[in-house]
Amino acid sequence: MKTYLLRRVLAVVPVMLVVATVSFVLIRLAPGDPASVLAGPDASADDLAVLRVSLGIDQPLPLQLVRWYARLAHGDLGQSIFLRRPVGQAIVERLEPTILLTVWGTLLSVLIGVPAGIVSARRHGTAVDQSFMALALVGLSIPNFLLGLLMILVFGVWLGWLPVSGYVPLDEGLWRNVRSLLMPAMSLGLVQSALVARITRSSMLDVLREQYILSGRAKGLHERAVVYKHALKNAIIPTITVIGITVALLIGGAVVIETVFNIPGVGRLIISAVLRRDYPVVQGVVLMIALTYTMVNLLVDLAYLVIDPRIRYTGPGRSGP
Amino acid sequence: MRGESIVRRPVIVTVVLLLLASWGPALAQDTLRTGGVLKAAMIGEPPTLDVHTTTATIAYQVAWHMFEGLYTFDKNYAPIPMLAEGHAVADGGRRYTITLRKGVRFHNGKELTAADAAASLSRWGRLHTTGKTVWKVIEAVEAKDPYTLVIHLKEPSGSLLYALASPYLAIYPKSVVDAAGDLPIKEYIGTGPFQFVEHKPDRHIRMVRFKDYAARSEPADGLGGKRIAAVDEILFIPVPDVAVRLAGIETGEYHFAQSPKQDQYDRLKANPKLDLAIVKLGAWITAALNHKQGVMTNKKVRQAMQAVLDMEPIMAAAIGTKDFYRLDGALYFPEQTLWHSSAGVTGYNLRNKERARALLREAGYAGQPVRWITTKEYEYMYNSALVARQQMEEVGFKVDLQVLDWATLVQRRNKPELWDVFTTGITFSPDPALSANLQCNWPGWWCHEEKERLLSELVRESEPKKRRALIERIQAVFYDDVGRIKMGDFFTLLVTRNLKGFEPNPFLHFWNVGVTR
Amino acid sequence: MLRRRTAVVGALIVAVNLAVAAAAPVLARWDPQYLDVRTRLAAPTRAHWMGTDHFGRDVWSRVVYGARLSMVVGASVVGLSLLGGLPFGLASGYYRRLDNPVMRVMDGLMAFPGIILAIALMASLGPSVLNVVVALGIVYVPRVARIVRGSVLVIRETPYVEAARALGGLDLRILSWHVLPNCLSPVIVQATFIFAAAVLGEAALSFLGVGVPPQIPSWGNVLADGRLYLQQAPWLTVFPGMAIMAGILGLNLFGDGLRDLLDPKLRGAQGAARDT
Repeated sequence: MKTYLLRRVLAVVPVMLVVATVSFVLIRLAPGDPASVLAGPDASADDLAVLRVSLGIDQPLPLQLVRWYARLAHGDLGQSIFLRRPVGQAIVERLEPTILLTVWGTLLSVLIGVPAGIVSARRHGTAVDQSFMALALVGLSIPNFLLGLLMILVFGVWLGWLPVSGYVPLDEGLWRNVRSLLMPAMSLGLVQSALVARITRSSMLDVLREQYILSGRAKGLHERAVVYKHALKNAIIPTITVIGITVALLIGGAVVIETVFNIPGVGRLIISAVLRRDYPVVQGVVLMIALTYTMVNLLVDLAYLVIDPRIRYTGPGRSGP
Repeated sequence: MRGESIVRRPVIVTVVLLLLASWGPALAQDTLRTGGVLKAAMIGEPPTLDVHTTTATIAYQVAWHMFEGLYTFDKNYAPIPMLAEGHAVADGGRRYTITLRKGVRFHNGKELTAADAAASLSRWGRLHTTGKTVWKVIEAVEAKDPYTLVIHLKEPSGSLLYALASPYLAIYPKSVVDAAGDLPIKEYIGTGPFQFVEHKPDRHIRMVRFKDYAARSEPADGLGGKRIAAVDEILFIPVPDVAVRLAGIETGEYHFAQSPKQDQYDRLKANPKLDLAIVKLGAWITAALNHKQGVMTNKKVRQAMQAVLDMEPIMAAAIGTKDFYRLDGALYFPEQTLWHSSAGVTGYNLRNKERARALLREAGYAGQPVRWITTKEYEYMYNSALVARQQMEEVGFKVDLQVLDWATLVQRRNKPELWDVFTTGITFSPDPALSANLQCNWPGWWCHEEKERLLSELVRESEPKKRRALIERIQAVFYDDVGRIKMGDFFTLLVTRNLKGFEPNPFLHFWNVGVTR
Repeated sequence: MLRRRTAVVGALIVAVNLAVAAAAPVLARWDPQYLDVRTRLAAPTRAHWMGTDHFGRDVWSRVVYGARLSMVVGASVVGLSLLGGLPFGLASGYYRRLDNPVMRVMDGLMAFPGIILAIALMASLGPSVLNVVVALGIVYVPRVARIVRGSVLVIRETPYVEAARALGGLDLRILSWHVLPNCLSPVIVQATFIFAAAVLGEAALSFLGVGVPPQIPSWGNVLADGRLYLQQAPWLTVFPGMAIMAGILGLNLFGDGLRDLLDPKLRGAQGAARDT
């Protein structure tokens, strides 16, 4: 197991290298560069040349790439061209809303999805099960930004209960902060809860079937209770997978939701960085996000090991990101 | 005895009234001093606060609370002295001797001298786009003595004072200029009524009242005259999303929300807590045509485009509400009474489909796609292009509309082989000769012999009536040769809340402005 | 029993979508790009069933043509991701030596949240329908590869394949005749989900402004346009939104039903997980 662990951790390095290289190349393929955006449309070619030197983007690409690797080895993500501060700092400043959004979204999806999945599994085949699953399917089919827009329309514009956009930082009051995140988190969480519900239900059903066969005919309430308890414990595993997948999906979803609700988070940061060609920020944020993804996956795999080493290679749901 | 008192009372009253009248403005401006923090929500972050190095409007809008220029604009947008005391012109308009005010202090306590002015002027001339154009006619700048600046010109110029009034020509201390060289300045030290405290990118830029500010004594006249820091502090807060900016001012979080969308006007008008103003001196939308390469080099094709366009729906789509645009073909705004004229405006809003079709036939147009590059980041650019495209296609044009992001657009604009038309906005400039966009090397590369000649005469000419005549001739060439297509003027909507003394002005500023809450 | 019904209902909705997409020129009552500024922001009327947008374009026509675009994009993305993912997955699963390097690269690509990779790709490629297909296709290649690899790993160990190899068959032949057909069912199921995800992906990209050019009618563009006028003209968001939901719902139903029909084994947690 130790070797497995070591191998998994070491495997992160080449993956990050791929990510770093791809992000470097990809953003430079985009036409235009930060110099022309910074200097404005009326700048002359000489002005731009001077600016490029000071930004360090006049060097040949392979050299810039090597420099990027070298800085990375020291943990230095570079300096944002437009925000004039270290990329790491820019990210940290925007982490709060994105993390809160992701956490709330995950919480919501688990708090709604898991019980719904369990209830569905227990009442398998009944009207309750069918309606829950129908709802889940509808939830899966709605783009999260559409849900956000509809919520803005209903709760923000028509009812006026919640602010239609903007973010209130934590240090300005917990209640106001929560209020500003309510609709965004719901847009993310409700859609995700559909997925969580389905997976929880399916894995509960699988386990229940197994347990049922193993224990033969259940004799009396006592046995059935044991069966259910055992089933739940085993169903936790795919739920953990789902949480891992959910966090990953939510980070991606946050990008769009932050735009809809105008939240100054990491998602907005990367979009504006791509549009402005702020190379260091794009490379740095992508790397950070990829690292987070990978770490979450690693943690999920580790959780499997702890709970049940048997399912190391045949674990459910590994078709996910 | 009674006769005397009868006369004396009115006299006393009159004298008291006169005294009050003379103190009044002073009193009023002092009661203007409300203290407090003014929170201004801006459309974004200025790319830099070193105004010598940028042409971005938002840069000066923030920076010029800290910096001042030798001249500035009065309420008629004519240059009047600011840091200068006055000037004398000699040698047939080739020598300007500018006297500086005495006792003006920088934020670091040092006094302003001609050496600082000369250094700042030279740096601006070296680094700034407009500065470089103006510098072409400048022979030398010398600081003759601590309070006298002499500018030697190669030829007479009607634009020098306008240039000196540019909000980008900020006077920095010589020490700051020397330390920075061509790189951005490291500290922000000016002579303005506010001084720099801190800049937290994406959070705010903070300035506080400069206690030793040397104000002019005359009452405020446009941007000139007495400038008072009525508030204790100004916070410029970048809020890129217009919905959030507006929401912020509606909830009282901001005193000023920059650039609300014009179609929000009716909704905002209904809110009694907000003060709205429409500034008519805004900008005009133009479609720049590529005269260097491509299908628009054919004059008849250009004339065809000019003939077909119906500006009303174009402007309606671009701006939204009728309150905020007007159709006018002149190159300058009606509010610029000195320069506005409809003489020579021969090709504006012709709406003549038949003529367009005929011109296209005469031009031998064979269906080559007209590559129109635009961006959605400025909605009016995209909207106007989309409507114009349909109108053009109705008479036989083929238009390839390419909607790009800003970074790509800026890059492509400089490559004549990649586009035929692009849309942009031309903001008003007080001096017709200094508009970069009429120049030959501005994207579009409209280099027309007669126009160049007229422009250089315009630069040299100082007499307003003669300038106006030149402008009329330039307009005639503009329309005859179809240098560009003007779509129409659009206005800016200003929204404020709980401000006292705020004067709607195309040049945004917060001196002489107090907050009531 | 329920499964069969689900698949049928799903198939029906998908069929309706496809029919609408195909019949767009007939169903749309106006040219989706025809604008008439005088009638901008009109509420639904007999002439304009879903109202008009801020250019005076008929929203119903744009939604209908948007359906067509979505179907085309969805199918193309599936095609592209299969084209890219199958070879990688087959190679990686069959040849042990290639497994690690190929999977590391795939992991690297998958470590990007899909939408961010797509945004970066679109910024480089420029706005066009083709580029949206390419960008989304690239995003899904690793996911297809992973699934194929998973199947191949299992199939490789079956006696059937072992026998074929022992008999000295050409690798390529074995792969195409024995391995490939057997991993198709999970791939087909995944394909339906990729279809749905691609439709959602195009909508999100266009909504953010980095997808299909804004004048082209697409569901994402229609929603993006509607967002600006949410207060004044909510119909610009509500009706297209319902149409989009119906379209994607159909795809998901169909995918579910298909999965149940093709491979009951996948009914477990693995199948319930919808891929991004």
